[in-house]
Amino acid sequence: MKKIQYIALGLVMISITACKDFFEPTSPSSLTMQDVYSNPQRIESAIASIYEQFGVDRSYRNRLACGFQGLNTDIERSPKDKVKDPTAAAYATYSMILVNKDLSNSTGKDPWGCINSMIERANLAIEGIEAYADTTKEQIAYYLGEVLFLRAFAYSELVKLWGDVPPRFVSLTKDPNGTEIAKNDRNLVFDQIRKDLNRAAKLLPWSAQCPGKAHDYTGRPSKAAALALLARVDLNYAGYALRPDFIQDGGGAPYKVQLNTKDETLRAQLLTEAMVSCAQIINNEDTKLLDDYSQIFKNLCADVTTYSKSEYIWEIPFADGQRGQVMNYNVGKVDNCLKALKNNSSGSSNGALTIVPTLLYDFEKNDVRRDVTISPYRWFANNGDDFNKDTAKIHQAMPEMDPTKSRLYQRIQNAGEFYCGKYRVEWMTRERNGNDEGINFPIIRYADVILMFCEAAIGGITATSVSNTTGLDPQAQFNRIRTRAHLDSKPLNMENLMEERKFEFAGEYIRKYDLQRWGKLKSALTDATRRIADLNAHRGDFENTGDTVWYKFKIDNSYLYTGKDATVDTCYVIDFSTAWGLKKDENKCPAAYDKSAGWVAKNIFRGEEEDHIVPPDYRLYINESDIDKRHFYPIFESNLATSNGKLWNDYDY
Amino acid sequence: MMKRLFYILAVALLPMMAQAKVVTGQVTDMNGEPIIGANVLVKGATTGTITDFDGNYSIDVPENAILVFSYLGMTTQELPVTGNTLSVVLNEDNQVLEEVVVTGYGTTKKRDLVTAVSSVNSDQLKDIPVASASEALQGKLAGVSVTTTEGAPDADVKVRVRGGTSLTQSNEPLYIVDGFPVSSISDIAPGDIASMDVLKDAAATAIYGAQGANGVIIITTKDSGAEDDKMTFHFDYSGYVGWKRMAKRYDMMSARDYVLMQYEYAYLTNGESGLRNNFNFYFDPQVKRDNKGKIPSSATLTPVSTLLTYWDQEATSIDWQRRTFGPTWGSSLSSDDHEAYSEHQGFTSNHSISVSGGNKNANFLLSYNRVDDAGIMYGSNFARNNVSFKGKFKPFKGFTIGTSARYSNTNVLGSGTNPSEDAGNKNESRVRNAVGYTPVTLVARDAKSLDDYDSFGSLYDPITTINHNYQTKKDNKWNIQGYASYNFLKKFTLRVELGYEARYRDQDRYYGPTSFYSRDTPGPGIMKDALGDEAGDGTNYGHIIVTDQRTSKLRNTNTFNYKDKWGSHSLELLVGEEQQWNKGSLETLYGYGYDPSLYNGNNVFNFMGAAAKQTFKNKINDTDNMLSFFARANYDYKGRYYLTATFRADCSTRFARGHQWGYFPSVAVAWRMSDEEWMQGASNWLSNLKLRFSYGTAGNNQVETGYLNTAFLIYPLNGAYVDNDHFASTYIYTGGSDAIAPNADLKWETTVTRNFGIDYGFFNERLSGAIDMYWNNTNDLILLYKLSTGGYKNQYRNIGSTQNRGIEFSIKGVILDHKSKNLSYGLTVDANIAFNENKVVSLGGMTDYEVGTQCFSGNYLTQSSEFLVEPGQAIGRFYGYKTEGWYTPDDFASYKNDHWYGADGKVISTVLGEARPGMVKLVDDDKDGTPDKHVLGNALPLFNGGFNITAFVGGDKWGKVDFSANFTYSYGNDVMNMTALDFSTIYGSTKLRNLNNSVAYGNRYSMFDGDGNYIPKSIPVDASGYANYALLSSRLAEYNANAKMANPIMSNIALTDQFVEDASYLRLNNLTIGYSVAPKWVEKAKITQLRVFFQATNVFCATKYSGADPEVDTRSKINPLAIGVDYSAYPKSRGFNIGLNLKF
Repeated sequence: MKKIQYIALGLVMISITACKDFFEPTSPSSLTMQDVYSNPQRIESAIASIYEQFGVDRSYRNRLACGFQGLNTDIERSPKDKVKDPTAAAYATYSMILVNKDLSNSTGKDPWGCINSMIERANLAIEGIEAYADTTKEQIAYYLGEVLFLRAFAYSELVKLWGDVPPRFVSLTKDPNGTEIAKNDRNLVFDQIRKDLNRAAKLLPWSAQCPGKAHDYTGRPSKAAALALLARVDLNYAGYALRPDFIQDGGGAPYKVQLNTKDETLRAQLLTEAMVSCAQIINNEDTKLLDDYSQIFKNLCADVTTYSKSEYIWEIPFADGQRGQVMNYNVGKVDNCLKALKNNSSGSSNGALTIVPTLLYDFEKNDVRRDVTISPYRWFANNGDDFNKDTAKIHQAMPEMDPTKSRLYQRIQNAGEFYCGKYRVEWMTRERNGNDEGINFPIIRYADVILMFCEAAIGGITATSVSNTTGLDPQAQFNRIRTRAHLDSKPLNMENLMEERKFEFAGEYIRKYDLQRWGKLKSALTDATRRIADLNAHRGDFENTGDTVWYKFKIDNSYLYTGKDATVDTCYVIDFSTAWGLKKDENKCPAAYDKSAGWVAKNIFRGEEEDHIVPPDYRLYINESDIDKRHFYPIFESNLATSNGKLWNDYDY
Repeated sequence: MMKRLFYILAVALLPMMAQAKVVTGQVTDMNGEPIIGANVLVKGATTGTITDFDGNYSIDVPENAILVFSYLGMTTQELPVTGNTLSVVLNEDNQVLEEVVVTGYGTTKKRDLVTAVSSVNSDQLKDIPVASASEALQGKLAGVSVTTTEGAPDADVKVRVRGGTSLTQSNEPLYIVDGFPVSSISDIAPGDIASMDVLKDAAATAIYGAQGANGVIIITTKDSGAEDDKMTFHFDYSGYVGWKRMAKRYDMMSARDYVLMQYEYAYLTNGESGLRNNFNFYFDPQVKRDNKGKIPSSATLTPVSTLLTYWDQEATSIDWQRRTFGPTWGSSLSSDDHEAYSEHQGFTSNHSISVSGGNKNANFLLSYNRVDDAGIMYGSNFARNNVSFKGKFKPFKGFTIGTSARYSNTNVLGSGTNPSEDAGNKNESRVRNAVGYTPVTLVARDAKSLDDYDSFGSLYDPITTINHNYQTKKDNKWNIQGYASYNFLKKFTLRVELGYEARYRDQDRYYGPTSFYSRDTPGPGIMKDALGDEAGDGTNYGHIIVTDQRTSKLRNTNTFNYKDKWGSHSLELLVGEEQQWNKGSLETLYGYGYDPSLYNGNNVFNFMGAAAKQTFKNKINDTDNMLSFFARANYDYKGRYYLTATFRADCSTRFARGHQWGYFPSVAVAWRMSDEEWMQGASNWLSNLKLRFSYGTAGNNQVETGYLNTAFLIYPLNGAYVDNDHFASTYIYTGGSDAIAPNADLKWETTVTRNFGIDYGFFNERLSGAIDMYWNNTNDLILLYKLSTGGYKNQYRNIGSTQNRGIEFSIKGVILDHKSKNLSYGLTVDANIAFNENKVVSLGGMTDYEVGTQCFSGNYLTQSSEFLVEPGQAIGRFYGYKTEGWYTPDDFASYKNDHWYGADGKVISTVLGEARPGMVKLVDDDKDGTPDKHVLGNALPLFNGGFNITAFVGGDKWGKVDFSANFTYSYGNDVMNMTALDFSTIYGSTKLRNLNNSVAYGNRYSMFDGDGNYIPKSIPVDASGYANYALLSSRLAEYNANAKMANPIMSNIALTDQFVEDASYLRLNNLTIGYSVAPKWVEKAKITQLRVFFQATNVFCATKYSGADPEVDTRSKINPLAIGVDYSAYPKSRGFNIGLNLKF
């Protein structure tokens, strides 16, 4: 009988020792860090997960690339601010509070979370590649450079949107206490991302030499992208910002718009670094200005992502037709145009970005950028009843067609509702199929590099003395931008440069940050408000402007939808060659105006009840005194509540 | 006792021996009832016999023999033979009769229990027509609450022992079947169960260590019961057939009322000018339309009064509820019902056969059970087969080998069975759709729109919807166990057990073109037709999701037992060791783009390869091994003072190294006061009084796994986020889709229990029961901590704690008990009641915890905070707005053009929309213009329990009639009636839905007369367009003098106190009347028992709750804290069964 006891005891021993890894917790369906980062294909997949965060809900997909940042400025305005619901555009009118359902809600979907996820994934990737991959290999070096670039971009965005943030450059895996790192001076972030971008610029080749899937492609970074972002960061670092005088746990430190660094030597270094970085790009043949200004944006809408054909140095690469709502939000409103307007088989238009009407009249005569930048009309598709209830008038304006039949047509907008024309559905080359049309969101283009070069070379807003050793003439570079716009040369100085950037980049989510960097956000907004009032009254700079636009339609069926189940077969567009009233000195009724010949007169400044661009309906901010408190998003309540006191708000939020 | 009655076979085999004398006699019990099958042995010889059906025996005995009469449960008697007859009356042996309770790795006599254990035996289970064992527990045990979450045949049965402890993790008790821990007991035929024991306090559950915190339910299945030398053989059959019908219908508006409601809605939300597109478009069959079905602006609209008459009298309306769920009792199926709804629906049958036999050295039991339950809903069907085998073999003295094997196969078929979690937004929900679908056939419909998933203007009828939500579920489970036990030197037992369980669960789902899934998935451009041309997006196709889940468990347990008794001391020691390996995997196949003209739910799974596109994913579960050591000592002195101590050490690989080991000690003491000498005076009435106290800890390791380490997961990119051509085709990231940060410090939740109990028995146990008081604290609760630093959104942390305190009473009284040959009768009542008080002690620094039911999304104001979970308060508190009637014209000062203006000349904006008379008014305590949220009720009952009445009357000559009734009740709990909210409000996306009769015209406040005339329109206006307000007020007041409900039209909806209802109830769950024929009549056919019975289930439910059934819990699967929510529940049924028990 003893035998049985022995057998039983033996069983116990065998059963435990048979599996050596009995106590080892494993997750067979998940990879280890080593699995991932020792294999180039998997590194590529891991990097894809950083990009993935651009496309998730409430990230760049439908928030940060979509009018929920960068507004309002002296030239751009969110149309969402309606007196009835001012909270809808609180971020744009400098009246943000700690709760905003669009940008932060309790489900954890928020831009803060998305960008921080990108950073954590990048932290893991940097640690993984450095530990497990051979960075002497071309492809691996590219990946490391790419991840460094992405982390730098993510951090530059965090700083742009929130100011001071926790500087965390190590993954939670390596440092489980990383969640305890508190908000700190943004200069710590600047210092690190300068290092990272310098390193990335060495690791990344020019686009034409980029390996693998990144070759000649705007959606993934090249040396130029790293250098351009570095220049941007340098200029920001050397410039002004709203910041507390010192970092105080829990907030409450005094704050004002001030220079990021009072160290003049550092500022000179930063500007020099920016200048040299831009010069490197300019000297490289890879990048170029397109001859035709409109082509930049036509390329964007047509998914031209070939670097050598594009002016863009880096774009957020949304999946074609799958993710990203750049078009949905930034395009001018299109009403009822499904399957009437070219390439528009479904999807809506949020029209989250309008152009401040003063800009229309501020463009220099002959500036080709004006009619690309501003679309003073919007598309309609119906039998004309949105144009006019009176069928006789419809027939007069849009002849040759039965007034009861549906047609596609443009309608001049009121002055407060000029949309940005850089994003147009009709420039797409594939069908827009839903709100997620997947147009890329461009981050930086060559013209910006040229103007950053100019700005750095002349010492920036602080007029810091910088010695230009690049061999490039800033004035000549400045002229390139003006020449392309069909304009004459102008002397390069800070004043002119700031004006030039306004006309070059309107509607591209750049202006607000330029103004911040120059310490001019508040003055630009208050000036603009005064000038809007002048425009409304047609006085001062706008003395020779009028209320009315006179125009005639012509048929141009090239804008019609041609896909499956097309419903409309005639398109009336405004004949802008004869239209009158959209420029200075066009304040009198043109001689050609003839109602019976189909001419239409539209008062774009005054409606039946009130004027279109007067407060409170039309305003760039709620309180002037709040502008310099509200440059940034607050750290939202739901994030504050879950930060264990490591996050707080300054600026009297 | 019936199982070992019939020994014909054995008797026939008895060798005939020459003897000196024949003795005959009868063996009866104290009531004069003959005892059948009693043993009669000649002392000191091998000769013996058993009594026949009349208790008579006849035996040859030598001279001066002594006969030994014995029978299980009776005191054995030895009597010398003095003449030729010897009759004897055997007395009941209470000590022996007392049940044995399984306490985990061993058994204890119920009398000697030191911990809180409740038990149910097979007699209490045998007549209850339920498909699952857990349902059979309903109302039987104090402190064990059993909720059938809804009425579907495969509905979840939620079992909670003493309230449940965890906030976010599993609260399911641990199930042990014949010593083996199993994932579910839903596959065990109730007829196979010999007993169920529920371990409630930690002193009892500590022996299960890290798995025991939520209580342990131990099931012992039946074996052959052969304990004699003689060979026996039995055959049992029992079964029933039954018919079920919906117990309670939703009372919805008639066609005319519906159309009038839609008219009101269109008028009030879009104005008179909007009627053309928002009312006449759907309801005007006479108006002129263009070739697209649109009504041109020039067309003359038919007056609403004409349309109301038309829809009331000329058009037929459809009762979708009846087409989907069939009629209720009292109305029969008719040709009106959908052709698909057949008589078969609602039919159930249940058949069990068992064969057992053997003797005490080798025996077996083999049983088969088949359940069919067609369900009351169109398209539902449920079938289960169980086969089980149990055998025991004793090759030589002291050595036992046992084995058991079970196989079960459950099939849930058809479209009617999609899970209730789907009932929320964006998914076609079976019940909701059936109840709310338009009762009239709309003249025109909206174009399909994804955003319109709530509106029935663009959706399809319930039957189509059900067909397009087809699924089959197959659940196959095998369980094989064996043990060898060796008893040596009388005091020692060594036992080795080995068990293996495998479970294959397959779920095939088909989504037809009308389903939301198909309309939403997949993106455009991927569909190719047979020639490879693009055939448009996925919206006109069917799609499938096939999941195969495999789990297995291998377990080995080795125990060593020592049992000794000296003097008045008895001691039992147990030491043991156990290891478990759990493995699992999940494979999911997605098939897209099946042409609906070729494939439907019935055949698509035969041709899955016909997909235009397929994707696949799988997951192998994380390591889940456990190594345990445990020990227990039971000591008692004179059967009067007891001490039990247990200790278990568990090592679980669900946690990271350094957190794998846990130690679970417990101690319990008891004192049988009634046995003290100074209590002897009371012994004539007090048969038992025992005090117990215990203290112990147990853990809950049933927690989410996979969050310990940074785990990199692979997903196909599929163009979902970034440009496909320039990235890898997969992406790898950590933390899963909801971005959960790793936490290597996670460990199990731990519960500490203190229990004080009293067991009592009076009048020789005619009245007995127990009282238990407990106080449980659960610490280290795992909560999903929200995180805004670190790049993840959440992290699981052991940070919370909860507390449950309660008191439980149970009582059993044998009120009548008379046995005699001509007339026997008995009446037994048992009852239990349990009070539990739950409190969240800590949320680890968080001030509250968000709980959402996800029933509604857009326009729903109280979305993620329908429950207020905060420290110091119980879980289950509903959180929403209080109402105070509705706005009346007195709240406004003027009216112009559909707008109502207050005294300040402005419209009154409320969170529910712009105020108008009839709109519900929310309480705004601080008058800041925003209504305040309040706690509106609590899903937890004050007390609950059940009671049972059993009775019989019988006589030898005519058989026996038995009766049993099983009641359950709950008091003080509220239900969040989301169905009522759903069906008594109408807003943007829910237009064209039918509402319930509580808001029918006449009940609701309305600004229209019964013919659809807008009352304000009939009031004269002044020069600036303002109505004569005094006249308007009085007219509205006059029309609404009898209004009982606010107007259902609003812009937003919210959870308000109107939808929180007291759901206390008393239900007669089951009523059974049986008749057993007198044994004599069937004796010749060798039948020992023949019983027919009739049963009624869910006979009545007394409640004030207005919904379909107060026992409902449809959302706790979405979030374990979203308890007591009634939303789109499969209706409960009322049924009648006829059955038969037969024994050979």
